[in-house]
Amino acid sequence: MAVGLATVMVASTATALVVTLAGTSSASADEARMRCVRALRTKRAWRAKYVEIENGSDGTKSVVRTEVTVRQPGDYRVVVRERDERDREVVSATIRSGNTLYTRRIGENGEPVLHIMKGVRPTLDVEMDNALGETVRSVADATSLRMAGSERIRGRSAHKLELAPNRFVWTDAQSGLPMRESEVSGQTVVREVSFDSFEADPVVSDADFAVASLGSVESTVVEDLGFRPVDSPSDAWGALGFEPAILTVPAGYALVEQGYCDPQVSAGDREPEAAFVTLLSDGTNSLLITQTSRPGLGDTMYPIDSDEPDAPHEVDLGGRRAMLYGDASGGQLTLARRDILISVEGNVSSEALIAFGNTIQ
Amino acid sequence: MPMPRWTRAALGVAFSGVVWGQAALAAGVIMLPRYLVYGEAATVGIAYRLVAWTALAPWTVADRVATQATEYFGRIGGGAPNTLLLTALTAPLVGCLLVAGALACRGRRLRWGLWALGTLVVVATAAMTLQLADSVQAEREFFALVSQSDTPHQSPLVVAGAERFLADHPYSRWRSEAIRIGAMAAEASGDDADAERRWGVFGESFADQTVPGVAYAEYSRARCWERLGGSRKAAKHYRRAVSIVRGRSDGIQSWIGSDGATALARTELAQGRPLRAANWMKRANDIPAASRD
Repeated sequence: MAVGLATVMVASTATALVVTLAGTSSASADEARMRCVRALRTKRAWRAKYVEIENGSDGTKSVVRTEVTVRQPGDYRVVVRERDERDREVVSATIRSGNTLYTRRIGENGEPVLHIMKGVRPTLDVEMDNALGETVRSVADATSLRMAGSERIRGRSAHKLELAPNRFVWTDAQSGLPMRESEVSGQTVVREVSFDSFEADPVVSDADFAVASLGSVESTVVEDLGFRPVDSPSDAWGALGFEPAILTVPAGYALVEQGYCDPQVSAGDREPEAAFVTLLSDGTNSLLITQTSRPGLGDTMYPIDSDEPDAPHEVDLGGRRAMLYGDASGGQLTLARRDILISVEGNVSSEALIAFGNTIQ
Repeated sequence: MPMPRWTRAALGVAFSGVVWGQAALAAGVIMLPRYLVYGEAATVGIAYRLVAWTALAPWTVADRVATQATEYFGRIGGGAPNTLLLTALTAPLVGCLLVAGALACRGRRLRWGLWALGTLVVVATAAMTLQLADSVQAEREFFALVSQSDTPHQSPLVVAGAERFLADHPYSRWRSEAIRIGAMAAEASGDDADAERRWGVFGESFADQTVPGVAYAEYSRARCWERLGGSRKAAKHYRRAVSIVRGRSDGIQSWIGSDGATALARTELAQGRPLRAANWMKRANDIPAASRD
């Protein structure tokens, strides 16, 4: 009897412990996730160095060393060093200034070429346009994030987070910044990124961000991605072929930029699409509103029927259906108004997105 | 307590019981995946593999010697129905032998034991054979269904048949293919929300067998979300699809990695991140082109 009772007690305690530990693991994983997401966003200027190693299934190995310097949101400089087939170091450097990118790279014949990419759309988190930012975004939207232990990396305590069964990210226990990322396939590490250094508010000179600092070039290639800034939405009506909804700027926010994507210009492999883009910011948080024409859509969004925890769900905006999707780094609200699909993306709470959605007439 | 009388006949029957019992277990292990939803066999994981190795080792080695097969356990999880039926034939034999042994045995306990074991094997085999017959029947029905059109998802008859198939054979290994027909038909009709939901169910039917099933489902879901306007959610699924197939070269559909990377380049560019877009485009170009299935 006593043995039976003791067994039951031990089993109950063990069960309670397992449940508690599982809860703790999930909670601390979420905590590490939030810390990771906030770590980069709260820095306006920073410099990071990282090394990406990829092992191909055919035995090839590529090593890419990158240095990213963000002077302020919207302005960055990226220097990439890698080796070509003959094991020579190839350096390419990019400077982004607003809607234009200047990249100096070595062409196929070994000559330096300046590639100017103009008409780049405004975006949320422009400082995330690099591998460090992508790792943060992966941590933010991992569906089944799990704390897989703690380790020491370069003498610092790090949380090991499991994003997926084959993918891990180690974040600094104090700052939350990613320190390492690893993807495995079977017994092989197919990709590994080591974020070696991170410096907040680095000393940056204007000369470093001057196009001339990229060095001399033999030729210049200009590519237009089609974004055209305008002062007023009505300036875009003719080119767009539709009248975008007039937006109310929320209290505390200011208009950073607005413009349209020229439907006559194709970008990448994307079919040319007319869109009106508005970027609002309160200094810390931003809202990116994209309006595209969808004839036949009317005022009603598609019904969403999913019971997945991370699936977008329907929200009611004054009797009209909208689709809301959120992750740790923000969310996206999608709604329809008079045959226009309106996407409101922001690094803000779901409530803030809904509140903004309610102001759209 | 009197010891059982281990006569020569009883020993012979006991020995054959052990040997044939293992054959029956082997047959059961071979057939087990047939009754699981495709992909769940992997979920059983280590325990399943342990049983499979233990029960099948002597038979597989013998089979390998006899047939010069290049793969051990190639038939676990797949298995040609004729091979399965041949293997299953051994099970009733085991039962009959055990029962016959019981009749010849003079030891009371051993006799009852053999009776019980023999009856159990016969009944279990009969039940399994019935299920196997249903599985084979389902397979035939599905093949007959899809052979009606070169593009099954464009044929209303086949699409309706696939729905019926899912209702009639919810545990068939062809379930995922029937779901795929429905998802492709929904996409073709422009109902992206329904197609997305169906692709989600398609992915779930592969459980933790991620390549290529889950990767294909992720890629397809992303495509639907992109059209629905959920670019953030679309990018997430594209990233997941690319991540799943990254570094895999074991005969998987590498186009998922290539097309997924291209789609990510597109979404990144549309979101104003040209460097990431260039990175994904480079990755897409690095992946060798492969045929689609």
